[in-house]
Amino acid sequence: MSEKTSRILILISYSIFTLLPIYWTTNLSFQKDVSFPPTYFPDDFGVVNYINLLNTRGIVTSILNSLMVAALSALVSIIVCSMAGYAFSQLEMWGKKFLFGAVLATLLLPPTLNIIPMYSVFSELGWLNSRLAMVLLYQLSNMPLNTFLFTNYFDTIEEPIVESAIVDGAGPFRRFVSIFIPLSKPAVIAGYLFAFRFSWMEYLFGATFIKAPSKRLFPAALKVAVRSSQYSVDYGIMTAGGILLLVPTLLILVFGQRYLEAGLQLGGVD
Amino acid sequence: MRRYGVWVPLLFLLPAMGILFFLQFFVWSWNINIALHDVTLMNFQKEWDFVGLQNFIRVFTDPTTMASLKNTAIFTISSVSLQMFFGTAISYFLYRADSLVEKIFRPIIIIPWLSSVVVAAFSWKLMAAENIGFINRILSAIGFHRINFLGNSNAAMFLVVLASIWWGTPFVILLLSSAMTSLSPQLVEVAKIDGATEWIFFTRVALPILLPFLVVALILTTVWAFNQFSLVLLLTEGGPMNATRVFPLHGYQAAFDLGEFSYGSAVSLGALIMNMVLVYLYIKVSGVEFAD
Repeated sequence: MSEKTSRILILISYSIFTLLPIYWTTNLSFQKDVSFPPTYFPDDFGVVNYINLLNTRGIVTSILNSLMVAALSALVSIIVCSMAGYAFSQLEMWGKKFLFGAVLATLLLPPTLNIIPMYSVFSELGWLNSRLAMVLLYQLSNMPLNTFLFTNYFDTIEEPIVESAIVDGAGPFRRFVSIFIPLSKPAVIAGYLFAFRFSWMEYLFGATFIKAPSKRLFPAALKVAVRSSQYSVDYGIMTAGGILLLVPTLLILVFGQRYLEAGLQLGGVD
Repeated sequence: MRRYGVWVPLLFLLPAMGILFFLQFFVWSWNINIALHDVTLMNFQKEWDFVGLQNFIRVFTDPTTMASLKNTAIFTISSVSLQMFFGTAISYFLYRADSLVEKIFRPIIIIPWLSSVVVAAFSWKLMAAENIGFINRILSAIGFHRINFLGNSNAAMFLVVLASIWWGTPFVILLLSSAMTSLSPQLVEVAKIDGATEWIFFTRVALPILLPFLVVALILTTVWAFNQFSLVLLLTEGGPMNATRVFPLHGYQAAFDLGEFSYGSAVSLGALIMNMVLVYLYIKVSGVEFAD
């Protein structure tokens, strides 16, 4: 067996490992009765699990909540991080390296370690059960990658373009809005997708800080919905819920792979 | 690079720095404040008594803490070493593959990176379920006993590690793949002409170039695995019999299940210090310079 064939065989094996749990969840989700013994393909094909899931009280609301929170978080993230990236890449300032290091350090200080003081502070401020507070909180997790992304992308914008804008009398704000942002479409799209992905997927903060059923986010609402009683789990809802939670981010992969990869290249910690 | 005094750059940095100040600096200080007081569900919104280091003493004399630290060590070491092994191997094979092969496999391999922790936990729960699980379906088809993954300590730890590898490896692959773009394809050709085998090329040429990136990946996966608990919370809730109760989960459950907020804060500060020591050791031992 040639080296090339064995390399491909290894890639195939790892892909099978990756796909197995997704395949199994999908397979079970389309079986009318998720019970013993399961078959490898849904021979009693039906979408009853999806219907049950969507009919569970609060699920549809939670999906809309999550979509809103993710869309808004992503928008705020590209505004905050493009501004910071512009300062880091284009402007000179005392203490800049230190501040860049503070953004970098966020990677090594997982926000989840701070969930207890955050809970206490949010409770004092009356921010528990607030979806806007989640939008603010998600900015922290999205900041390192998106700030690197914009800093590195702005570094690649060619000097003559900036020079001619200066000659035309454009100040730093004007250049940011009329030159850097319009020329950075790939970074803006990648940054939006990264932040949307994270905010849509996040479970722990959403589940701990939002308990009001009408404001719950989708991942947390799913966790509540699969517990049909104290001791039993509704596998039907679990399968359909897992797939519905995965679909939006898979769509990002299908339609935005080009931007994700370019973005990761730029956002890479190098 | 242009100078505009302090105010212009500061204005651009203001939103980001405001968020960092509030959600990092202030909240970490608040964490210390909680850990130094006696805060429980009972007096959460009332006066807090100052107790000094008592919470830290309680945490580190608690036998459950010791058990959870052991669980964290087992979880972190096995998860990180396997994530690094698979991550390095798969990203290298993707780099060496033809572009068509790469185009087919790369999107498949990064799917777990696009999966919520809830998707990871649910789908591995379904893989491991006693009756409807894929693993037990195969085991019984080939004549073995079914395994109750959530009822057996070792099997539960195995499951948690497996799910964390599935979930975490794509990030290592993404990070190392962007590093491998700096290995030019000509390098491989030159090495081949000089008679180097694939293995010699990988160990003598590729690895030294990739070393700084491997150290970055190692630091990030270690910190994330050490502090990972939402996956464990969703998969096993720390069970059975605390067998998968990892250290940060120990703090989270103390706070949000038992209402012992100060105890939980002391755990998270303990975790922070251990993280910093680990990162420091990695940087020292690897000898990689991280200037800028």
